[in-house]
Amino acid sequence: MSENLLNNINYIPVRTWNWLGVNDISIDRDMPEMKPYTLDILQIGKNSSIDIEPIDKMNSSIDLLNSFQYDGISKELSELVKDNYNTGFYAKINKDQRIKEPVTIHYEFDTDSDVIYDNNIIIAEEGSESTFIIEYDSKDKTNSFHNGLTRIYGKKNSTINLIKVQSLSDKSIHLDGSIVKLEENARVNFILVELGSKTSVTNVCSELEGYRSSASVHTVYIGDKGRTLDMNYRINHYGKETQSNIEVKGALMDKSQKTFRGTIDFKKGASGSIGKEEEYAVLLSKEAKNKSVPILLCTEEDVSGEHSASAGKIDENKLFYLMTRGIREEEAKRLIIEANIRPIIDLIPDKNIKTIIYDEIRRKLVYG
Amino acid sequence: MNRLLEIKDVYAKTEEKEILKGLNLTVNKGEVHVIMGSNGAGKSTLANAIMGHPRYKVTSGEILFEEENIIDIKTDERARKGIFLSFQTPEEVPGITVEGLLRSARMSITGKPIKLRSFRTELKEKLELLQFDESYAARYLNVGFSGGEKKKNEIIQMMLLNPKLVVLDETDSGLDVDAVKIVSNGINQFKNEENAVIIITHNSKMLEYLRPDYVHILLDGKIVKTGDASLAKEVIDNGFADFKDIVRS
Amino acid sequence: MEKKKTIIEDLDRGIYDIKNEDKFSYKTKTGLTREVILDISEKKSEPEWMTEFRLKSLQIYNEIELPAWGPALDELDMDNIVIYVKPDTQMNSDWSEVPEEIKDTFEKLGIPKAERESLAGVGAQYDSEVVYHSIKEDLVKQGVIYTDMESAIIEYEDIIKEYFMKLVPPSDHKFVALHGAVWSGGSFVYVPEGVEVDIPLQSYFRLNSPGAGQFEHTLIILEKNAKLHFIEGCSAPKYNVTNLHAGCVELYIKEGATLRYSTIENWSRNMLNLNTKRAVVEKNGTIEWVSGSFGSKISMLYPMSILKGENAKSEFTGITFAGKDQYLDTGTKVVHAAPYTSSAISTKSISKSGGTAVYRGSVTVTENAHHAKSVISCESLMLDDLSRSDTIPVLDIRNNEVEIGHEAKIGRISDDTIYYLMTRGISEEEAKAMIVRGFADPIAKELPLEYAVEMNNLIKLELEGTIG
Repeated sequence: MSENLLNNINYIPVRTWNWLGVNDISIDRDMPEMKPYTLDILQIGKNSSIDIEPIDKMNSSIDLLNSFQYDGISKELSELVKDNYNTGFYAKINKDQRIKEPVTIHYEFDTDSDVIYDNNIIIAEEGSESTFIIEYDSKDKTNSFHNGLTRIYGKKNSTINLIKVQSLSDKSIHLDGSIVKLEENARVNFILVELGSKTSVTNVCSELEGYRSSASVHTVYIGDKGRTLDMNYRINHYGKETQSNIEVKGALMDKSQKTFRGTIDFKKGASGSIGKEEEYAVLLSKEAKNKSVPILLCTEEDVSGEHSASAGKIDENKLFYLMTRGIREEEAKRLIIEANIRPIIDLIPDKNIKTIIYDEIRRKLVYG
Repeated sequence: MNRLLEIKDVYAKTEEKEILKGLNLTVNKGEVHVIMGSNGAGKSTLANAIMGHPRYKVTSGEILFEEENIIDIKTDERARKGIFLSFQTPEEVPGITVEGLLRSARMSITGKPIKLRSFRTELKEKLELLQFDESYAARYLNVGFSGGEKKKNEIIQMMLLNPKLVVLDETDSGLDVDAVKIVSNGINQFKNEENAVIIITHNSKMLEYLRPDYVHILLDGKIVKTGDASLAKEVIDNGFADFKDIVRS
Repeated sequence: MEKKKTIIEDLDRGIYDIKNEDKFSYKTKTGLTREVILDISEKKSEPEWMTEFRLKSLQIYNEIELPAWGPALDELDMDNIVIYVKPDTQMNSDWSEVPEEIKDTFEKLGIPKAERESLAGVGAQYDSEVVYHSIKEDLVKQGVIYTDMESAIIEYEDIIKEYFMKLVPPSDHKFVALHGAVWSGGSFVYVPEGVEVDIPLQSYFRLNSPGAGQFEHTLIILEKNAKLHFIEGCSAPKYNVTNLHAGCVELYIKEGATLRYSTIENWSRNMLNLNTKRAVVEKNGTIEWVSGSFGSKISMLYPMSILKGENAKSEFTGITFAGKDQYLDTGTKVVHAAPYTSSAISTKSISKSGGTAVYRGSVTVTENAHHAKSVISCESLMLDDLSRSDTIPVLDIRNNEVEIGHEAKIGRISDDTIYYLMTRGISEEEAKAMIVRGFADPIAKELPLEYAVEMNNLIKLELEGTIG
């Protein structure tokens, strides 16, 4: 397969100066050989209340998905998933079905199964409510490759909560795109947790087509070692009185680098819409690199859009205060960073996963 | 002619919800009226109906100001006719200074150019009366003002624009004891036989300083009882519970 | 309150639109060729190194692509641009010697009056050449130089050779390469160590000739602890053909020096304004940019500050008002390249009647720039739903000992604010105009008085008949 598939991906909708290196990202890695993936991703039985099944030719080609225009990380990579997936799921939540218990999907990499192309589809029927947790992790220090695409269609009055937790091994490549389309009054809430891999490239696009539809994306990341995090989120406001909220928080250590691109696009006709975007990066190392590109695009008068981005080192007053109470510096830093991201992590409705995340953060910040 | 304002059987709604349901009120020159009522009774709707807020729609009835029905008249023209509303939460307007607003407003209302020197003297005088530092004249309107300062600023505007009818919408809320005194002092100085004041409140400390001629109880979109100052005392002591029976019966 | 909007076709911009007869003593053929450049160079009797510089720039121009971002520049056809128009006069230092018609134009623009009242010196460029330059006697005595670039290259050749297009090299982008090849006119300012020029110097640029390009070069050097306020104004009457402005401004601010650089740009709506401005600031030095963009059809303008010395500072205050058929892509770039440097960016934009206003910016903090601070605030106002307003900022931070904050807001005039002003007797139309002026006020405050008045007039012109 051609290696330039990993060049110039995750591009922003409007370009700016090339020398800043934020228009897109290129990854210096060959595409892997494709191979089957055989592990069981669905914990059958636990998810009995929901209509979920492995992806196949039938369910991956329903008409509803043809209306999705957005490229994901890149058109080519998304097409690869659509045509050559080796795993994935198809879930349909029935009309007015409200599922309290989250549905968990677990993609695990090991030495044999080190390539995953997951093709995931969630169709939320009218008035339904559901929560999905998708985990990506590595069993060992395998050099794995992930290219995934999740497509979500929310019909009238539906709510979809989607939590993605990525903790791949330090050598892995993680490419993950999510595309959402929402009808009237539908909402999607993303919680994205980025803890692992060598290069993590994520893309979220929400198309708010229906009146009063809304999307939120809450992201937490920890960059350590030589990790590269590349995020590109886009919310397109088409419908009237639509709402969006992007919140990204994280910490960068060692020689890690992060680029966050977030675009709120108010299309003409999206009157009464509100969009908010907020980013905060704590820089723990002199060698970390932090780039932010918070974009607002607007062709509608009656909207309100706001974005803010800030970066700096850890609050010295807080650090000092905790240390006067006898807490070790590293531990104090962890406490401050945890306090900062806790409001997002606490949105995750699964105790085990929360514990895993906190443990992982502690490991990185204190023992890393 | 002594009559300033006459509200006749007014029904008004906001966002499809009917708030005023057949309200009647008459205000003559030289009078001070107090309107009391619990939250949601329609007090602010009444103020905004008098002033012509585009989000509040009068669906039937008449509002006569100096015998003219003003229901179809735009807000700015009502202001030019001599009606003034002191806002419950005054707007913050970055870029427009306190003095700049007053000059534009005064020019619009009088239709005459402003004599800068005498205007400045007047403004300075009022700032002093309301215990503002002179520098406030050059500050952006209400930006960074405390709650009390915003309310005091409304009174300064009132004094400089010299309206015939003043509606004070919860002007005393959020003010400390001293500020209530300062504001009341300003209103008393403004008040004369040719103008009138409507005070909207629900717990009026201000009533100790401003002796009302009439007190009205507004409940569920209607005036349910009218009396003199003693009625206000009754409400302050016992609340509105007694009057709710009137609504029901 | 019923909303109704009438949109007028075009503005009568008064004096700005007065066209003079296209008189000139010499004009190149349209198009950009080696011959044209040799021709200009010869007419200017330049030193040889400059002729070579021009030719090398032309070569670079031919090699570089158009930018892959920003507004489309399809209508730019260099084959139809007249590169050089020499007005029918020499450089004058006596106002009375300037030809009547040119004098009249500048007089209507208020230039000599401003000079008498409030300026330390004035320069006036008409098409490709500077027609008038003057500076107050006492400044000359203190060693201050303020002259046109053509004279400077003869009289101060060593200085020009050392600094000319060193900060903005022709390889930077296509239009600076073009500038390097065809530059003509502009000002040279030199302020010696410790000299503080209390009142501003002003250059005024007027492009009268249809289909022409203006490529003036401004070079300012402030030695240690010097201080200066430099103002530039630009305007042109409206023609049906495309005019091009690709000027270049290079500012060298040495240790402890402070420069304020104010611009009001009011080019006509047939102008492509592709201007490049850059300042390099040494230790404890300060650059303050004040920028108002009102005119032109397309603007791409991003004054850049390179904070090279410790504790160097940059402030950028800008307003952009995009009306019908305008695409104004403006902003600023800051590079924090030394410790304890600080920058503050405050921009406002207004879009109306189908105009596009874009804020494009970048703040870069290099690895060694510890304790850098940057505060960025961008506000955009949309006056209707025909227009467009985009904010495209980039932060690139490579050091952790920093304090960086960025905020942006987009929205429209609040109905509640309009209502509030109307309760004070102000008409809806006036209330809206007041709010727009108020929005621009923090920027107006930074401008010299006559420019602030000009800006308010422009806003008034823009708003008349379009809202209410």
